[in-house]
Amino acid sequence: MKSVKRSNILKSEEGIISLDFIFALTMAFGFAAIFFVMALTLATVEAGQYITFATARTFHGAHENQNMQRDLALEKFEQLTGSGIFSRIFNQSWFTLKNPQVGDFNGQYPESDPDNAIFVGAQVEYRAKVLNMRLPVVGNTTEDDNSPVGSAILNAYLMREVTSAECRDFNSQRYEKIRKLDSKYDELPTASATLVTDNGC
Amino acid sequence: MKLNQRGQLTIEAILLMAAMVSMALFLGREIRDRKMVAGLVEGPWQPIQGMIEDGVWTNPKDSKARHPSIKARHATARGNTVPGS
Repeated sequence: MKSVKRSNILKSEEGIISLDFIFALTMAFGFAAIFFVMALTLATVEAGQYITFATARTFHGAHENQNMQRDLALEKFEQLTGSGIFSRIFNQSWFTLKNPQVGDFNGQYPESDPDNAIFVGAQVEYRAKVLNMRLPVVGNTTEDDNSPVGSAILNAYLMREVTSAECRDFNSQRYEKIRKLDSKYDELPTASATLVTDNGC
Repeated sequence: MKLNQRGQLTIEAILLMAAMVSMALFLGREIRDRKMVAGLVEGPWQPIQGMIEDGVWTNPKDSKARHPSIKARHATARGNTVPGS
């Protein structure tokens, strides 16, 4: 083994920069971790928005009644988040996608025009816990554990098709109003008569 | 014993190292105390959240009122005319 003379060790200045290097490397690692996590977060947001859209799309389709539309939408959400790659992404501690809500969310938005009241669809709570990191030297990425960083409500508003029950109810009301237009219609049967729509409901 | 200056470099190296350690500790503490990294993440997240939720680059508290669907559109049930036409 090659021996190093004591005088050579004292003359060497190679170690002077080691501390700077360690400090810079730690800083670079910290910033790289932040950018990596942010990129990963945005990618999972895209995946979450697809799931929210698929939930809203299922809610949109016509059915017997609104509860059955809602049940189908929630079933779609569970199906997507409970299996395959999405299950591995959203069912661990880094990212979560939970509490799917479907229905009318117009109350959350300022009313500008009745025609614009189209906020009917799905909302899902998204959380990227991975953004809450404790990095060496530079500290935490959030001010406290309850920080809203990484939280967002994913939205998809596709409206909702009329249900069969709503269609039948609408036609019954229309029938009753037609009957009341003139006294000569009094002879027609009341709404309790079986309603048959020629184009389906 | 013959006097020499070989120890001077060692002393200077120790002083330089002490200065660099102090500087590194000072910088680390300042970054933590000023919550600079938290600002680096929490600051940009606000407009990102607005974009995720309502499609506009702004604070989520203000983004609801600027959702694109609130804008008047031509294709409505009332048959509105195009604004400004």
